[in-house]
Amino acid sequence: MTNLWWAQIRSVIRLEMKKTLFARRGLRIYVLALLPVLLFTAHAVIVSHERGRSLAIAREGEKKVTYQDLLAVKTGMTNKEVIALLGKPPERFHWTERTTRRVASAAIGTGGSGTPVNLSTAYNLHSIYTDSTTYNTGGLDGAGYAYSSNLLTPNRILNGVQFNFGLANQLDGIHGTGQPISLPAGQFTTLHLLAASVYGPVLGQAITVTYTDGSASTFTQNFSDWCGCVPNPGEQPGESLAVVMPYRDSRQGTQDRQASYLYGYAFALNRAKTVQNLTLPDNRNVIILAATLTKHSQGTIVGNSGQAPLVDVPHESYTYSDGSHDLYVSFADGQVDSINLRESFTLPNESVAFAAVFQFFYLRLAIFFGCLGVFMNLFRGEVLDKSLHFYFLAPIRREILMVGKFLAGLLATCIIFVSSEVLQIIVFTSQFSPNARDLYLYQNHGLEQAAAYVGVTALACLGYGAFFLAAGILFRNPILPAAAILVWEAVNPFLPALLKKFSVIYYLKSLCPVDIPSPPGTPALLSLLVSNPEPVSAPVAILGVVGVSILVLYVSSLQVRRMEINYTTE
Amino acid sequence: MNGVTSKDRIVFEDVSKFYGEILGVNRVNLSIPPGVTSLVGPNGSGKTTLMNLMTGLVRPTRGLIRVLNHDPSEPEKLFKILGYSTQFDSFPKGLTGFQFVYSYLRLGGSDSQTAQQLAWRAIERVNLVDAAPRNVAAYSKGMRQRIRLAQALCHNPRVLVLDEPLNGLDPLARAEMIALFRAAAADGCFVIISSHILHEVDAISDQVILLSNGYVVAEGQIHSVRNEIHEHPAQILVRCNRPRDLAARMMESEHTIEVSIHHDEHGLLIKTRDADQFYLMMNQAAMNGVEIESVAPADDDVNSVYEYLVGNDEVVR
Repeated sequence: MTNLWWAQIRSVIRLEMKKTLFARRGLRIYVLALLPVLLFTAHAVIVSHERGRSLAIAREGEKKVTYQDLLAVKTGMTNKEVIALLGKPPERFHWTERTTRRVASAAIGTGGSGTPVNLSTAYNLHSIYTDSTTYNTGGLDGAGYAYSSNLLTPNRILNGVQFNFGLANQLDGIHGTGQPISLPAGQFTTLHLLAASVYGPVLGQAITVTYTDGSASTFTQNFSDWCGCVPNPGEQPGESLAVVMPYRDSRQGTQDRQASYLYGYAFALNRAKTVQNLTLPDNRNVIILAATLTKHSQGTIVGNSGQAPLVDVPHESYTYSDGSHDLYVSFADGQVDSINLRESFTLPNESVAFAAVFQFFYLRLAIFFGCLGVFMNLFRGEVLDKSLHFYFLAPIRREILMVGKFLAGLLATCIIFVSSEVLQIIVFTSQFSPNARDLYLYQNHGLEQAAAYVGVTALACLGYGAFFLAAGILFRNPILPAAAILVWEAVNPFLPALLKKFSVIYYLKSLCPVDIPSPPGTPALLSLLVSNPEPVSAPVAILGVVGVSILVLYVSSLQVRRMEINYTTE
Repeated sequence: MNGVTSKDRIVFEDVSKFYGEILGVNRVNLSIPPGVTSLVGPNGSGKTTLMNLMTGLVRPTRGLIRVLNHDPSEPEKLFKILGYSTQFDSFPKGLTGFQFVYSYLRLGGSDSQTAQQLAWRAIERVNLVDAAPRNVAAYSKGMRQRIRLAQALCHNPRVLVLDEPLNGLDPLARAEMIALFRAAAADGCFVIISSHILHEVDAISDQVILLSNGYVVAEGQIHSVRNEIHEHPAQILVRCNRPRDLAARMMESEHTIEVSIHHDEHGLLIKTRDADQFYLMMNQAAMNGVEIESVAPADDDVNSVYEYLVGNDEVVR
């Protein structure tokens, strides 16, 4: 009997393979499968061009610079100091910007004027960490990033005003909850704050200073984002750049090479009254690090809608390279404003980009829709073509027919998508030198990663294939269940732990060989889409996909036995 | 089952099929013996539904069906003994006529060599050898009909279910196919045919099943069915040398309702309530010197029976 079934399955596979691989509608599936190959081919061309450019910059530089030389450039350095360190830049651009901001960072140290406000009783945030410290808190932004205390230092003087920060590695910042903070009693002319926002600029926030007589001064202020990944830092009205730092710390103890900013704000007080409380906005995304009261206007004084005067600020940009790292240094007013040190395209770094393309395009779109096109048509397509009766009139068990069709679909999709995956890996690795490629493949787990990608591709075809075959059997209009599957897979990271297990992507994500770090500033909820906080082991993941697929196929087999041919009602 | 086992019959027991609220067939009880059985009825009368029920393509809403004791819901067993040529005019894409038949046999588990032999034999039987290597998509309607017949015949089934099998065939091919059906029936096969061409059904059927609006209105041998319709007088055509004398003699019988002389003066059409009495009178006339060339019923064909049973409005010609 088993021999008969295998013979019948082989016959079904022969018939279906021909249809699937050479059908006109299959063209779209080939295009989906080949898009990443085209993408990596284009990427290879760009990488080749960029690498040539880096080498040319390194060659044309006045001095031969090393990676350590590039790391030595810090914010606040003058252009002369940079040139002394790295030589005249091979590439230089300059321009002028009419802007309100002062570009220089506040000076390090003590000795400034004013009465710093003791905020320690209000601290509710771990916002500053010593470099190389690992921590489990959410840091400043809740995603695990924080200011570097090595860069920020304990004290700063901005325009002569003294600011003191909380101690690093403990509660040392305040996020707004609408809480009142006691102010030292006295009559002051200005309240100075060092603050910033997280997750994008925060607009129209109310800052209130209450006086002892019960009256209050309320100021409305916008706050720029602290991360250099968000454009136009420090350009909100009444805001100035206070401290510019070339990197920030992450909870893994590493330095995230995104510039970080702290901004200065000044609010004019009623000098005739005695201050009592400061009330911060009720907004988690507004962060205060330091506050100082002054009796004489020493900072940039603004009123409720004040605006600093516009000035022409000369800007320059220098580019250096050691051949494998490119350094972009921006100057404003003759001082280093921002630094962007970018490693040239290397295989380990680019493997993250490959992983992103695999997870977010290939797995979730190309394979998903490819399997939809193939598996859903195995039964439903033939009902629409009015040709399913050919199979139903043969002396073959319906369940065997279903298995044959499924295996044919699986074979066809594996041929298409696994071939494309192998091609992608070949194209991707071919853009690097043979030495770099061998190092990556044979010593840095590249071969294992490639095998994992191929395996995940095949498992994706299996899992999605089972779901779409079932949709084609169980539903007259399978587009709606297909859309439901798409949504279900998309929201999987946000589902309760038990429900997560009834999906394909949950297991496939655990098998993906390269983790994709969340882009800086990504909200925690969105980070779930990228990361996999609860990965399962490879054997469990493989068994999970296979188990879910078998379960779905079993349900389908019950239905296919009862399936009727009634073309006129389709 | 009236003493007949379902092992050697196609049996329907109180079978109904509804498509939602639409009636397919209702309360069908049949026991079909070997030979050629024709399903007759206008469009929508339930012929194809009955065939699809018999072959498991649709499942009965109620009732029991057995084909030589096989359950139609088990195709792996049923189609070893049954071949079905449907009315569906669609084929798997990209197949030649030969591949269509060959693939069907392979699906059933035949090895390649056997499948090739059986496929060519079936294609020869439907006289389509020259066109077999061509893609089915390029076939004419008649050729598609014949390749479907080849598929139904190829594994030498005991039961042949043929939905409108003569549609699209030219007269020569039609005669060949009818001969083929008769030969199969002579071999003891069950040949179930549905057709709108009543005179052909009449000629080839051993029995008929008359359907109207999803109900079986009559079944059995056509002459038996006719004889059971007492409310309609029998019409008999007599060819003889003295039709007027015979007409006068017939009018003397109280069972004779109407007599009309054929326009060529060599025959007459008699309507009688008692066919047996009529034949006795015919014998007496012959003994009295009337030369009778032929006596033939004029209304025991399928069409007339159908007309008597379901009325003029539904008669199909």
